[in-house]
Amino acid sequence: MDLPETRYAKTVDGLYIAYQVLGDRPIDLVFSQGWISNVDAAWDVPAYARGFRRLAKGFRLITFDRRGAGLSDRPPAAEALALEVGMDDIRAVMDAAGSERAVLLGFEDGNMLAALFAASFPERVLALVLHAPWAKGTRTPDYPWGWTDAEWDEWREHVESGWGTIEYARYNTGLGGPSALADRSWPETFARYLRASASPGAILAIEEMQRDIDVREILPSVRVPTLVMQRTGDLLEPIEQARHMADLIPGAKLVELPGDDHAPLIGDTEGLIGEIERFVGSVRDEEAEFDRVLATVLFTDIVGSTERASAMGDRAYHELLERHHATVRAMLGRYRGREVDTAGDGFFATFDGPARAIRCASSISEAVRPLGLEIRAGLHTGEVEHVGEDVRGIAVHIGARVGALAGPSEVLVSQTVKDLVAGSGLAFEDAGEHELKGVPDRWRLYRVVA
Amino acid sequence: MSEIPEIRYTRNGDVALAYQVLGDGPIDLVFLPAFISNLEIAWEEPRLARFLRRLASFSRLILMDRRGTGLSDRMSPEDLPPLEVLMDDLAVVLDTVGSKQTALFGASDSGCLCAMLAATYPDRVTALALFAVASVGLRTDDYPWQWTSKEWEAYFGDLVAGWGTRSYADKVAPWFDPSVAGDERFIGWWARYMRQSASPNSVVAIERMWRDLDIRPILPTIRVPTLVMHRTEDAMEDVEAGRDFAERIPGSRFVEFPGGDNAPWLGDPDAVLDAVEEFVTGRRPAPEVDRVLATVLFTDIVGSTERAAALGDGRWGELLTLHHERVRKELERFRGREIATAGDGFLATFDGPARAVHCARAVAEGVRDLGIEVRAGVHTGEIELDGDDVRGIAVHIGARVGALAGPSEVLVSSTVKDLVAGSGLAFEVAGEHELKGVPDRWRLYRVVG
Repeated sequence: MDLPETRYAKTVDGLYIAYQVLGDRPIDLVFSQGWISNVDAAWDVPAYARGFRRLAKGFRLITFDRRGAGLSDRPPAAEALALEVGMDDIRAVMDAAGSERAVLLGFEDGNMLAALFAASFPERVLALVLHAPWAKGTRTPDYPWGWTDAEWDEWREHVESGWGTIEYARYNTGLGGPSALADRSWPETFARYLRASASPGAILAIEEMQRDIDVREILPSVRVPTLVMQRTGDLLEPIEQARHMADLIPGAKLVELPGDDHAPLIGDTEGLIGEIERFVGSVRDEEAEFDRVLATVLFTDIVGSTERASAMGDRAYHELLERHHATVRAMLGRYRGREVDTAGDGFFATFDGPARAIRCASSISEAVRPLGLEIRAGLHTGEVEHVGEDVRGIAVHIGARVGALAGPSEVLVSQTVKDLVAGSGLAFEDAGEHELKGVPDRWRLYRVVA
Repeated sequence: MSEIPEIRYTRNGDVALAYQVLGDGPIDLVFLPAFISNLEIAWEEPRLARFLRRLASFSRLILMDRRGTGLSDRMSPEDLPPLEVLMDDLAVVLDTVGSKQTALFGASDSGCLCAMLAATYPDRVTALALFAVASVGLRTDDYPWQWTSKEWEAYFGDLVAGWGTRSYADKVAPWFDPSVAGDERFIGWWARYMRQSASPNSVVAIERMWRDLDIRPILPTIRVPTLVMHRTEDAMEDVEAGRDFAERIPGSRFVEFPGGDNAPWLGDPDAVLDAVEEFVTGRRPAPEVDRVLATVLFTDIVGSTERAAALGDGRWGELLTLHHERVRKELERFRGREIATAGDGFLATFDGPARAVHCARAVAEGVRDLGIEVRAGVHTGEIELDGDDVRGIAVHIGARVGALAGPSEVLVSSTVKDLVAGSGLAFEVAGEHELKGVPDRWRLYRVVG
């Protein structure tokens, strides 16, 4: 089995954080699993290896060991474990892995780490997915889901006396992922993983830090799309807590899943990962909508270009084309048009003002005539999507169809354009109703007159 | 995942220390490898696992991950304890496992820890075995074998930049342990061992401690029997540093081994293991036996004493020389391996029994024109190879069979006859015999035609 290479990212406070990158899907997902982990040894735990591979089908998966655990540096002092400092682990790993923006999947205190990061650097977080999150370690009257001191002490007692043993692994799994115990070899495998992920001193330092966590005041400032998930039968954290978390984060979506396992990659992982994929998919669709802007599209084309080319010969025609292109670009520059594409002999450009687009089209038409050329031009205004350098959307298709209907030296516009430029002093005459191939309805077009 | 000894933890103050105990030999022995370790991943490298198991074959072997590495609590470079604390860690582990009298075997920096413990608690250390040690970390005018602080800084830079990657492991292997340079599988394990033993900053923490080391003042106070070992070509720790170390410890012994591997368990580990075993147990280790299936052939000249007396020493000597030449010619032809000549006879082994029988017949024929006759016996069984010698009950049986043969007769055991079925060789029964010193009765066969 070919495993990803472990690399290290360096944080601002000089710690080395071990991480791995799996897969090459276009969307990055950073698994902020918190507590303890070991990015190498995880591959020896079949449930984790399966979970990682499954996640990597939908995402470029980035796993890391938080400071203080696994293959990462132990911070010099307890304060350096705190979430406020620790969230730089995510930044360092994303930078090192070349991830501008990612989905953050959290677990245990990795949830709080991710939430803090999302609140601080929203531009780097596409979506925040919190699994079985909690906001505060200890129980108080205003936070009834935290653990009491007695519960923390009991947990600590188990860690102190049994860390790394098969008995401890069984105890921990019984609470955190009981369905894993169906596999008889699990306790031994998990005990080994726990030893590899933290020494007794390391786990106690992390548990102490967890106990002091309280991020309730941060959560309302999380602005990125957030999914809160938990299995309803979770033995470690009550489902009410997840509901409360979802309430604290503006617009967070809550999904309650069947099952008893606290650990996300134990039990029904397919349902869980499916939820993540659906959520991220809906966020992406929404984002695509955010990116739609109103624009006027202009299409131009040289009339009879094929005939001209064969009459003139390739070389002469090529020189002519270059002069045509230079002229069009000069006009686009003057009228602040943005060249999107040249398709053979034609241009596709967008404008933020429709009147300027019309004036540009007319100017081009006049300016190329001394070259012995005539162009047809079409314009339409509508919502378009910017995808990198490209511009897409039905409005683009309409613009192209309108342009194709124009005659030599004619500038045709849709009714939309005509209505938008009312008052600009531009004059139009009716050019009739037309069907535009592949576009619903009949469209009334107008001819620009001087 | 093969079975490895259970990993347990003990504590020195707040700091957890992981350890393992294996073997049930009569003495307690600690082995501390250099630099970094991981009690779990160590067992994934067959050479290291074999080394540890062999140490445990003559001891109760106590292993630990030092503070700062492997499964024990780690250290940060900002927060380094004095070396004495690491020595205490070792004492705490010994207390935990109830070891009151212990032999210590430490490599490189760990060797210094062992030396410190031996100097501090001479009554609880029975023997001190050190491998590739240096007593000082930084070069000084009177200690020329170490790096300058500039060289150390460059090394730290390389360390954090490449730590745990295959390319770094590949790059430094020729320098650390030349015998594994370019060994793909080993390099992969080693990169993993690095990652699982220390993170980039924690390995710098470890190395920084050793850079600042100078234990020269304590070495003359060591009163424990001490063996200092070093490989001649070691590029990490100069062999002169090892020699200097030994010279500072009263009554210590210095042993140099060939090779350049810094790790005692690489290169020729058996030489190191033999020396350590003999040193800590006082016994020379029984060489490891290698049992192989072989056919043994014994030949002997019939009535040699009488012939020697009749011919006189000079002529008998000439005759013997001719006889030996003829036998060796046949051994070569039938791919026999001469093991010994006992007076007038030969002991040879063959990997094919039929060739051994053919050889015996050729010898019996070939020497007759010298006016002598030989008796020959052939047997097949498992023998122990011990250097150039062979041993084992099968050898004894072969000798007894040969002794029962008559002049120009080739006798074989029933094992041989059964094994060569189909070879075209013909046999006749030569009766059942007791073979002196060998249990059971043995049916023997005479080679005919």
